[in-house]
Amino acid sequence: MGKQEFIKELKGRLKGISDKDLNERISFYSEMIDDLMENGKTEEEAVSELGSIDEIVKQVISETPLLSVVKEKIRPKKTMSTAEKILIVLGFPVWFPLLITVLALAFTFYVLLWVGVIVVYSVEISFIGVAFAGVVGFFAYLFGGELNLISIGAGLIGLGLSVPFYYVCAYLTKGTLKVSRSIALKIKTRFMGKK
Amino acid sequence: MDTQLRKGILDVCVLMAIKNEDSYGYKIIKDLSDVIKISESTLYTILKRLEEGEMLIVRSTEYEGRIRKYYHITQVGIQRIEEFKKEWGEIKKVYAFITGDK
Repeated sequence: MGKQEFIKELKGRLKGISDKDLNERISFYSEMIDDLMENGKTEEEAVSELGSIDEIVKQVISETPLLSVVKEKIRPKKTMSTAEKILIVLGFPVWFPLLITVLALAFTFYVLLWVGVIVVYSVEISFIGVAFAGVVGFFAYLFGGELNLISIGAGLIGLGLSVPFYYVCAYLTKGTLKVSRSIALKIKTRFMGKK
Repeated sequence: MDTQLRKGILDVCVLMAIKNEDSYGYKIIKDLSDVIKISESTLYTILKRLEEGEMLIVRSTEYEGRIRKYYHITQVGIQRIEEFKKEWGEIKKVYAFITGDK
């Protein structure tokens, strides 16, 4: 692949980053190719030194925050005509509720993703609570209170269960984090890295 | 290597590469190649991060009919190198603790 071809393809593949960022990247790679060629590489060798376009695109996607991708996508590329502006104002009762709905759905989805984690943590806390109550009950007995075997027994069970259940909590939290990260990456890839 | 740690090390390596005299992309990679391998894309990200942190400034110069960007270290950048040396002293202590060396 020659220099011009490389730059053209990279430009085409890197959607969703600002024009300024794109131009800076392109001029950086272009300078690099020129310098590599000046130091004895052929044009083809210099281009292949930079790694494959796929790799570059992947790296750019993972480095760009999701928010700035969305912003870049929402920002209109050209200035709007008067007719378009009027249409947007008139269409407000239609698109505004739709926008709110979409945002609410996204929020709900995100909360749902974490609901499992919240639930297991609540259970874990209740186990620890029961264990604690058992300990308190036992000490109450030592200091002359009534012997409440049920509370002490429940406390022991709670204590026993809280330990392995802690691992369930940790595992689920890690898993959920991973899923939410991979969803963010998928969204970004959809916006940015299209062939 | 841990990504955060690697990031910090790469930043300081690049700062060192431009500390004594201004340098440009190709030369930075070449000068550092004996110490640490940095890909062109990674270098771009590092330079961008350092520029945003005001640790270097970029100067575009014409060179043989094309533009070449030179990177110049700032006072903040020099400070960063000094900080890193101090931090490293602490890391060495932790390392000695982990490996059990005295």
